[in-house]
Amino acid sequence: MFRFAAQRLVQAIPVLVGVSIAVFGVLYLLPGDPVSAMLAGSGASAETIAGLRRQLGLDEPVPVQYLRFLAHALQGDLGRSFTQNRPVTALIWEQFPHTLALAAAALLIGVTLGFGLGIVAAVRHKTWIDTVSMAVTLLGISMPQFFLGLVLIFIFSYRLGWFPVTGQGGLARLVLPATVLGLGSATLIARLVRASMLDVLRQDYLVTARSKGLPEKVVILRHALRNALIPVVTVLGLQIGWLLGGAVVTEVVFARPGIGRLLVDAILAQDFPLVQGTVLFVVFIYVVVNLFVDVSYAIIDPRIRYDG
Amino acid sequence: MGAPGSPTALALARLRRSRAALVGLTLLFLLVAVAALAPLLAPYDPLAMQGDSALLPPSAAHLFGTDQFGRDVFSRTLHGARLSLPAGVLPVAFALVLGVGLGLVAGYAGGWLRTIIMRLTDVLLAFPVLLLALFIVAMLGPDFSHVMLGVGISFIPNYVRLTYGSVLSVKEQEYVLAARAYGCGPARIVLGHILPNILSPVVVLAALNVAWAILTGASLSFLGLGVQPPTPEWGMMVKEGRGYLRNYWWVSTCPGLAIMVTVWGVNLLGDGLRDALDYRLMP
Repeated sequence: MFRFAAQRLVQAIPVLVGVSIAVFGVLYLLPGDPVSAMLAGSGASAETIAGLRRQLGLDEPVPVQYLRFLAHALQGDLGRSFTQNRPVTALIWEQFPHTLALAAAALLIGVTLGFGLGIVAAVRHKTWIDTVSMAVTLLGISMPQFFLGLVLIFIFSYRLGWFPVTGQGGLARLVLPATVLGLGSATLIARLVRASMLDVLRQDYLVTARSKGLPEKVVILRHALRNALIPVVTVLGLQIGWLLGGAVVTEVVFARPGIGRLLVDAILAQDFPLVQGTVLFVVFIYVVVNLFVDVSYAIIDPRIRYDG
Repeated sequence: MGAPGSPTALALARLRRSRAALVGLTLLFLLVAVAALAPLLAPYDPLAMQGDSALLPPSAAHLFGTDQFGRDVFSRTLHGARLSLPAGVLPVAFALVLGVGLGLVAGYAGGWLRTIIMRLTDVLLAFPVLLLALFIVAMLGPDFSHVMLGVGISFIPNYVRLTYGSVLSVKEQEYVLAARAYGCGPARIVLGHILPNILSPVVVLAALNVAWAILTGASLSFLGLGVQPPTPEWGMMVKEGRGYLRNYWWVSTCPGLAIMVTVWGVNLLGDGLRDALDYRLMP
C-alpha cells in the first residue's frame, strides 16, 4: 500500500516539473521578450526596459532563469505581482480559502444530488423516472455555467429576494454560487453513477444477494452501490479539476473573491507573474488531489494490485 | 457507408432508430442553416446602434428585444451562430488530428517516441479543464482564434491517451500480424488496419468534445478573453447583458438560451452515437 502511494508520488514529480517548465516557458515562446510584452503600449523608455530586464534577471540564459524560478517556487516564492506590487503567494493565500469553501460546498451538492439521481435512475431503469432524470442531466450539462448563474440571480435574488447577489461572507452568499458549480458536477456524477450501477446490476453476485432473500434496499445500497462506486471514484479526481476550472467562471459571475477571479483579473491586466503563479498553484493542488484519489481508489478496489 | 451487416452499417441503423440523436441532428442542421443564412434571416443589422430604441422589451418589431445600444438581440443571436459553430468544431478537429496522430505513433512505434509523447500528454493532463485553455489565451492575448487554439490544445491529451490505449490493445491482434506478415509497411498497417478499428471511441469523444468546446469558448468570451465587442458572439452577448439583468432580462437570456440549445443538440447526437457504437461507460 505504502509502496503504491510512494510510487504514485514519484510519478507526480516529473509531471509537476513539466508543468513548471510549460508555465515558465510559454512566455519565451511568444514573439518579443516578456518585458516588451509586459510593457507593451505603456510607452516605456529603453532604459526602463533594460532596467526591468536586469531586475527580473532576463539578461541571463533561459535555463538559468528557469532554475532560479523553480528554486524560488519550491521555497514558496512565486514572484511579485506587477499590478498589486505584492508577493504572488500572499495574494494566492488570501484568495484560496474563498475558492476552497466554494468548491467544497459545490462538491457536497454535486455528490449528494448526483448520487441520488444516478441511483434512482439506474434502479428505475427504463421507466419515466429514468428518462426524465437523464433528460434533465443532459440539459444540465448543456447549460453554460455563467448563464445558469445569471438565471439563478434573476430568480432568487432579483425576483424573490432570497439571497444576496454578490460578494463574500455568510452562508447565504455561498448558496447560489455553490449551487451553480454543484449542479454542473451533479449532472456529470449522476450520469456516471447510473451507467456504473446499470453495469453492476447485471452482475451475478446481485442475483446471489437477491436469492439469499436480502431486502432490496440492502441489495442496492450494500452490494450494488459499493461496487458501482469504483469507477465513480476515479472520476472524482476529474471533478475536482472541473470544480477548480468552474470556480473561475462562477466567481466572476457572482463577483466573489477567490483564485479564479484573481486569475481572470491578472489575465486582463496582463500581470504575467500573477498568472503564472496562480496557474502553477492550481495545477499543483489538482495533481495532489488526484494523487489522493488514485491511492484511495486502490483502497476501495481490492482488485487493484499495489505492487503493479 | 459500410456494407450491409458491417459494424458501420449496424451502428448507423442504431443511430437512425435513436429518437434523441435524430432530434439532435435536426437541431444542428437548423443551426447550420441559420448560420449560413443569418444575413438573410436577420431583420436588422446586428451592429446597427439606435440610441432611441435601447433596451426595448421583446415585441413584434424586435422578437428578442433590444440591448443597451438599441441593437436587435434576435439579429445578433442569429449572427452569433456563425461563431459558435466553428468554435465547437475547429478546436475538436485540431485536437483530433494531432491527438490521434500522436497516439498512433506512440502506440505503434513505442520506444523513445512513446516516452516523449506520453510524458508531454501527462503534463497537459495535469491542468484542470478550462485552466489550460485559459492559460494559453492569457499568454497569447484575448482573441477568438486564441480561444479556439487554447481549447484545441487542451483537448489533445484525451485523444492521445484514448488512441494510445486502443492501439496497444489491437496491435498484437491477428489481422495486424497478418498484415505485417503480408509485408505491409508501418504506415499502411497503422492507417489502413489499426486506425479504422479504433475509430469509434474517438468519434464518440469528438462528439462530446464539440459540446465542451462550444461551452468553453462561450465561457472565455463571457470572461472577456475571447471575442471582443461589438462582434455578436453568444458568450459575449450574455456578458454585455449582465449589468442590465434586473430590469432587462432579455438581453442576456436569448443568447444564453441559444448556447444551451446548441450544446444540447450536440449532446443528444453525442449520446446517440455513444449508444450506437456501444460505449456505455463513457459519461
